[in-house]
Amino acid sequence: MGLDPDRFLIALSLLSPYVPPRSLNALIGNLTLNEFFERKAWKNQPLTEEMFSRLEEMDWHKVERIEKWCKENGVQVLGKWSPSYPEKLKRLEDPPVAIYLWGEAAFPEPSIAVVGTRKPSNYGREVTSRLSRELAEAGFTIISGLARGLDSVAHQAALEVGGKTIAVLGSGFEHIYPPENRKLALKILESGGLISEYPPDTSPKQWYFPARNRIIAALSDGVVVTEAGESSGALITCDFALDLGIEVYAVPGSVLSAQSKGCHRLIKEGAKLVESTQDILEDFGLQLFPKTPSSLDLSPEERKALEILCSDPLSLDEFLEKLGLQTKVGLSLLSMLEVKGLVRSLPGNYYIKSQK
Amino acid sequence: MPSRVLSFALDGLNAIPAQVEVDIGSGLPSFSIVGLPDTAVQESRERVRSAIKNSGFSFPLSRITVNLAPGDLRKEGPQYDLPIAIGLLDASGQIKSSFFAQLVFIGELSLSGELKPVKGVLPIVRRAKKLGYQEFVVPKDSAFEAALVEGVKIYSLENLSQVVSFLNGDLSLEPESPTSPMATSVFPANLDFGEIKGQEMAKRALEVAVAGGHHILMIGSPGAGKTMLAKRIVTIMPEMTLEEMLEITEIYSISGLLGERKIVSSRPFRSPHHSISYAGLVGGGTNPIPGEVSLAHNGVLFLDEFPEFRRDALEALRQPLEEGNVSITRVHGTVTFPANFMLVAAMNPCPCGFRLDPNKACRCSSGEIHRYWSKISGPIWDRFDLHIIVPPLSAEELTSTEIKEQSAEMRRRVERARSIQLERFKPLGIRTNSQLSSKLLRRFCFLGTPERQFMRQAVERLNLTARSYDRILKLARTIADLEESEVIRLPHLAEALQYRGTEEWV
Repeated sequence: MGLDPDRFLIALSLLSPYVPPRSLNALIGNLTLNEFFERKAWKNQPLTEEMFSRLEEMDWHKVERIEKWCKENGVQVLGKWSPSYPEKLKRLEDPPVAIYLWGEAAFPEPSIAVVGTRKPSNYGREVTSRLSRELAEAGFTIISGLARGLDSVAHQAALEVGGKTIAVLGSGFEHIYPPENRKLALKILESGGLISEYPPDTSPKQWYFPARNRIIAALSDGVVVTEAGESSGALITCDFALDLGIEVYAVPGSVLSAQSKGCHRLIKEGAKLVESTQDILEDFGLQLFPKTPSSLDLSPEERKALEILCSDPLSLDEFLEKLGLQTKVGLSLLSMLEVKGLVRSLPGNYYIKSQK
Repeated sequence: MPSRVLSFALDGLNAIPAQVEVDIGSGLPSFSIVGLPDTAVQESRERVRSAIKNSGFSFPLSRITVNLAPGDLRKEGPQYDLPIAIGLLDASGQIKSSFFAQLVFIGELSLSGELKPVKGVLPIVRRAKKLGYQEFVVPKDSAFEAALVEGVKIYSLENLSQVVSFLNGDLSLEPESPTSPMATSVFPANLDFGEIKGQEMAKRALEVAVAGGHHILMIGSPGAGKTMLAKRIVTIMPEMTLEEMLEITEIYSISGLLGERKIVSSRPFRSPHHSISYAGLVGGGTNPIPGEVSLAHNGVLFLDEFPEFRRDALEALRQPLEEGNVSITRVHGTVTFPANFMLVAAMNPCPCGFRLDPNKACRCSSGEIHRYWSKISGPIWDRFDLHIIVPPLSAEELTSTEIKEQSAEMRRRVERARSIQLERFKPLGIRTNSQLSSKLLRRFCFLGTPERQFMRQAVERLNLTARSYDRILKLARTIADLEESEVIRLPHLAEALQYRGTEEWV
């Protein structure tokens, strides 16, 4: 058996779907890779039967296949011992023994996690999009989980302003989940990266996702929850963040909305209430540069429409009534503003003034 | 010499001349019918026997053979009762005249000799006329339907003995006067867009859809008014021409759905339930009968709860949507029915229905929502030129007393836009903007420089795909036609953009 360190790492990561990271870390202890794979090291370790058999029957052909796949796709495998293994991850009690990294290798500072519910309201979408845009513009790397809903919105917003963003997956790279986010994942590759502690051919399992949340928390300098219900997975990320002493930020919502209950609980428990991006930036000694308003050619009607569409989303019918417009005229006016990037449409015939 | 009487057989909507030959020979008394008769035709023996006896004629006690030619075509239904009875009476010498060689006989007999109406009289008379047949003897109750065809002589009679005296010249009878002038296009009196409060965007979108013959998908919570809107679409569709009325009346005639109304004079609105079978939707059966797509011909096919329909049924919509007709293939051959309809589909934004409702919480998981939407395949999504959201109504809108625009006003605009399109596409054999192929699109939807620039920006900013770009051009063409504008201008394009529908909804 060769002593190729990459191969050992892949072999180790093959255990990760079956062996809890805590046990795997304990198992490795302070051994070097070579020592680890010399069987004598396994004795006197807290191994269950299953782990033992997995170690004994390591499928080295599979390891080779994965190594080849990683080489072909430019995926790096970083071990706990590797110099480019993100320092921040070592803060965890049970850091992944190996991570797969696809995309740029660097972990730029500072970074912030933007997480939230998979089923956002229009309000949640808007807030998430705004915060991540402005944080990305201020130089933060936006870290999130590529899940449906707000995670996707956060990644998307960072990409839109040309910022950096990193997605931490709860599955292998060959099984991007949810599948409709494959396109988004490819875009993230170009301006950030994907991270997973699972080998590329691992299909998603329910219990991988809470585990990947610890990586999201550990990679970040702060965690922002933009909208979360009482049992949202975003709260798990916050628990990890609190254990690590990382600041948690929460955006309040309506007290009537069940979708903001999680955020409100966080605030009650001491998370910092976020009204604007500045609330986060000030903790990092950063400042949001006021943007010069762009001088666009706007017709009087367009100006009037923009005045009405302030920060609250407005339904189409309300919009038409306030301006006293015919339906067809109103619709075409809204498209004009949308194409100019001044107005965005939200699901359900709602419209809102865009940030830029 | 066998006696010969003329009748017609229906194969789908196609009428084929059928000779009824009756031969009375010596031998043990018997009565047999040959020539691929179905059960209803076989049973005709009993009806004919009783009808002849009860009408005061005598039933010959000999060996009777009835042949329905051509022998390879399946004959179905009771419509051969009358020709068989006439043939029998003629062969047994009970009819003196023989001037009926040119007459076409259609009708079912009751045991007492009454003539009963049969299905499919209109398509038979229309096609027989094209083949050169001029005179028809039909049951009184089918006379209105038959007389819709101009330029033929329809003799309507009540019972068998009347028919015989008519043939013998003992009863002089004028042909029915044409009923087609009585056929005028009507609109459902109790429906009007003016009654609908709010939903301004949906109303406008429906007007655009009807004007250009576009199919439309409406997405909205339960109770938002999708069905209410859909039902009123027929009130803004152009008046039907006589030809259109005959086309649809034919279909209802062979389906036996005409009933009392005799002619379909308002555009059909069909809304089958989502549990409908494949055959129910597109047509089928051993002897194919029209499905919902054909019953909605020249009208509206409304599919509520669109994702709940069977996948194969939805995919089967493709042929009618593309070609305006539907072919059903059977062992005996292929039958084609017209199916040129406007497809209006409605669906909830999620399985529980409340995702877009600001006042109610949605109970669906994101996976459920995704599964629900993935039931609509890309090709099917692309058949719809308009995708609109029908939001729930607010309390103010529900209680508003403002008078909204009436259907008649909207219809006037639609009719003008339709006639502009008819004129423009005359040499091409298409009727509406929705039928424009992407090649024709470039020719008829020319954009000026500012318009092109605007669309370039729109593609970038709104992530438009090539397909949605084409759809927007078509819609902008229709909107321009509604304004009676020759060229497509910025406001037309901009309005069309609002009907695009995006992946973000999913």
